Amino acid sequence: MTAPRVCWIIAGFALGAVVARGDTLRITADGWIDPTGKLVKGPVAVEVADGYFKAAPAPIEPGSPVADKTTTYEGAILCPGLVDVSAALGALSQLTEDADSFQPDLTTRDAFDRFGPRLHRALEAGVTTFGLAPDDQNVIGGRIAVCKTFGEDGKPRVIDAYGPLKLSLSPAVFQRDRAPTSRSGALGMLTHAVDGAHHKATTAQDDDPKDALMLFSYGALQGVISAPSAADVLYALDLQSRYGLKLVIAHTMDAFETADLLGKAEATVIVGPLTWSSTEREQRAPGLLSKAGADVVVAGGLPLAPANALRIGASLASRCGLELNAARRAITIEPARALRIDDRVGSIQGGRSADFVVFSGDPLDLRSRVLAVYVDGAPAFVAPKQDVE
Amino acid sequence: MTHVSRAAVVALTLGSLSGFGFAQPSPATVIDGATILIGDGKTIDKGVIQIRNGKISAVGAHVPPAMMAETFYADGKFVTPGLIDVWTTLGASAAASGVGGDAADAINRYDRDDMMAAIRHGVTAAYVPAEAGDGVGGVGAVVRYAPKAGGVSVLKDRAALHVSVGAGQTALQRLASIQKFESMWRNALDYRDAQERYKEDLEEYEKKIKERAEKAEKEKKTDEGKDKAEKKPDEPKPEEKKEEKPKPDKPKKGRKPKTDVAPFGLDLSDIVAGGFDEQPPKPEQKPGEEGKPGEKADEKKEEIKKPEAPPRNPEAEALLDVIDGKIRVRVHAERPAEIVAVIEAAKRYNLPLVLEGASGARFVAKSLKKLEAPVVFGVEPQTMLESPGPMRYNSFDAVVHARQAGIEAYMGSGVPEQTPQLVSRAAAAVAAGLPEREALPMITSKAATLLGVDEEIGTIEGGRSADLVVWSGNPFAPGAQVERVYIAGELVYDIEENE
Repeated sequence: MTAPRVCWIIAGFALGAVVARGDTLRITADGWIDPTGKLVKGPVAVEVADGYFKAAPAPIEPGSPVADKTTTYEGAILCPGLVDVSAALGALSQLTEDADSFQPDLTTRDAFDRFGPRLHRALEAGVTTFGLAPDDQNVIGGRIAVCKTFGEDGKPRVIDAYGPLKLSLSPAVFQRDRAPTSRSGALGMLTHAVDGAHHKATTAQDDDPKDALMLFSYGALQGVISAPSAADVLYALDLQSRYGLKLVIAHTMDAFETADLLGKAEATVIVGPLTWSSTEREQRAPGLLSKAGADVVVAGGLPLAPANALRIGASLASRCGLELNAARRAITIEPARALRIDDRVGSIQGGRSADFVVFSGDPLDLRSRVLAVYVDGAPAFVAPKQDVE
Repeated sequence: MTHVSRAAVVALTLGSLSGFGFAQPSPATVIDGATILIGDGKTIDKGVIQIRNGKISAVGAHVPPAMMAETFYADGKFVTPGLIDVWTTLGASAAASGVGGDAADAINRYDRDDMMAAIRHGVTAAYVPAEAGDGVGGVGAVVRYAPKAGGVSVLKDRAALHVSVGAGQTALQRLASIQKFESMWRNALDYRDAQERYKEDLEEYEKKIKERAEKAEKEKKTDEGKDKAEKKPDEPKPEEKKEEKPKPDKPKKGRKPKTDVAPFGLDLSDIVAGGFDEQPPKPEQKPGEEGKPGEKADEKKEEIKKPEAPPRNPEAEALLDVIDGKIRVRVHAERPAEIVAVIEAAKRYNLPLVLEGASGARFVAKSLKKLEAPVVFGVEPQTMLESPGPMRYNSFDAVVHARQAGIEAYMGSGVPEQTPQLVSRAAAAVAAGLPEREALPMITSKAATLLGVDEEIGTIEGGRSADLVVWSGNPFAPGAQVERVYIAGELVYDIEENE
């Protein structure tokens, strides 16, 4: 591995957003991860202006003259900024209001502390975007706030306070002091709520205001549902097809049983977080689901998992049957899609936010190091130089 | 010639051929064409490994073809030695973990799922400790996972004594644990002194008895039903009484003056559950032995007193084996304060130490390096949150930092779940700064040397046991899968049979 040659990166860091707002920034590297998750090797250059990619990286002739204001990372790979679909980074205490298990109009933005500790460590591990997901204690927990780990003042910021709706069938929703107290209670209440909202929404006039639950009930608002058991998955798929919902299903444990079903439904499935302690059964879930035809998202679960949990998860999954391109997609474009922001982040294409990570190699290779992280075209983190033998 | 005799001749001929002509009782297995990572850092491209009778009979770029060999063509694949986890409880149950327990006895041979999970990720051998919460535990063993042949085979029994210090969650528990750790070595030596004194006193006593018996040869006493059938004297001589007093505490070989002082003079023995008793437990007095009211010295001054046997203390005996260098000690300590206590004890009593856990090692790296003891690290932090407990100082690059500080550091797991992830964790260590050429040796050849089983496993060399892993690509690269595992030459895992 050759140490990257950084031309004027220090100056760029100092100027930060100023550079991103004004001129065109040119980055060259020796490969990039394309929107299909493929690692395309060979010298490339990508241009960034006003915080956005001007176009996808284009191949360059090795040894071609270095253009003005170019940052060169020799031997490095450009990867879209990693996206953690369900994080609790910066959360002030818990992310749900437990008094009532139906809270469709809450948003986790209100529980977000952008000055919270540890957020920078996620950034330094290559995470640029994360969904601040409500906890699993409520049947309907509220809206997921979508955040970036770096903003203009150097602190994280919320980019979408009203992201997808979070639902849960986890046993955590059954509580003694409020309904539901049982699984059948939870399922009955959810069906009832969706059915009522669906009826209201589909009979409403076009200009009638629609709340989150109504939007969700006919597929205008995406939902993310925790479905820990195979039975929960069956229910979620049934609810989805009955009302035409848009559901992303968070499910890991029973993938051996549910992979075919989820694949047939062409579902997007959130798996993980996968860490060093995950069982082999959990690690095999992404591969099984992907092979069956589902789109797989690997969750990071920061800060409850280590900062590089996304790469660890994708890498472990790749050793247990998840195809490499799918594994790279699972921590970039797929979580962006699950958060409904894939038109903004998650891939290196023209018009997308210039959020990218410069890795010393394949991001799936745990030997690779983060060399730099750019958010909205600004160098948000530059790794200290490391002597590698 | 009849049919029968002809068959006999053929059988004889075959027998003599196999006996003299080839001297090869079983056909060889050959792995051909793979990139062989020897385990010591060297690589053989497109090499051949020949396995015979469970051992590696030949390895190299060019190996003469073997007769009747079963060949596995492995072009484009990688072969490594079976990986070794230098610290895991995978396969162990908690049964035999107390003092005197032996991890080799505590292995659950029927825990096939766990063992296969390790094997499917290339781990074939491990050091299994006999953990027992805080304090002195049992002895650990180096085992090899052998799912087809009875679950495990023990490569090395009684590999090290387990001691844990500072496992408690609260500061006072940890303080008490350190105090106990510091004093227990001294107590073990005192225990030995007491034993030796007793031996001397007993000899003296027997001598006196004999002398008196010779003097008063006609007197006899009834036996009183003692185990040792010793005779109780009736008329002890007053002048002999003086010599029975305990002898002054003579300094023994390898013994230092008593300097252990409890921190701040506190006695914390009540704080910790389980008791951190400084004194060995009081023995149960057997009937017919000492302690009878009628035999008390103050009541019968003339009587020769039989010396009182000190109570047996298995913990002290286990620690004495360590002090005498008969067995290694693996001390599990996480925080810097506990590590300092371990370093001090290791220096004072010249302990054959392996430090385990050591997540706070970076704060005491200099003294650790000076001690020159191997350090076995456990798993990296599982969360970004800081824990107030023993793992407070853990970091993702603890093992790398230690190596960079010049400490002989190894990567272990500590708990069973992490053992299958050994190769991925070693890859992550490379990102944290471990030179890539050291990554595989750390979990193969060097690990085998640490555990004292390097004659048998850890490298792909002629004569070593054929514990081999065939990978779909470079074992550290993304997507690399274990395709085959051989243990002692036997194919125990084949991905094609499991897909």
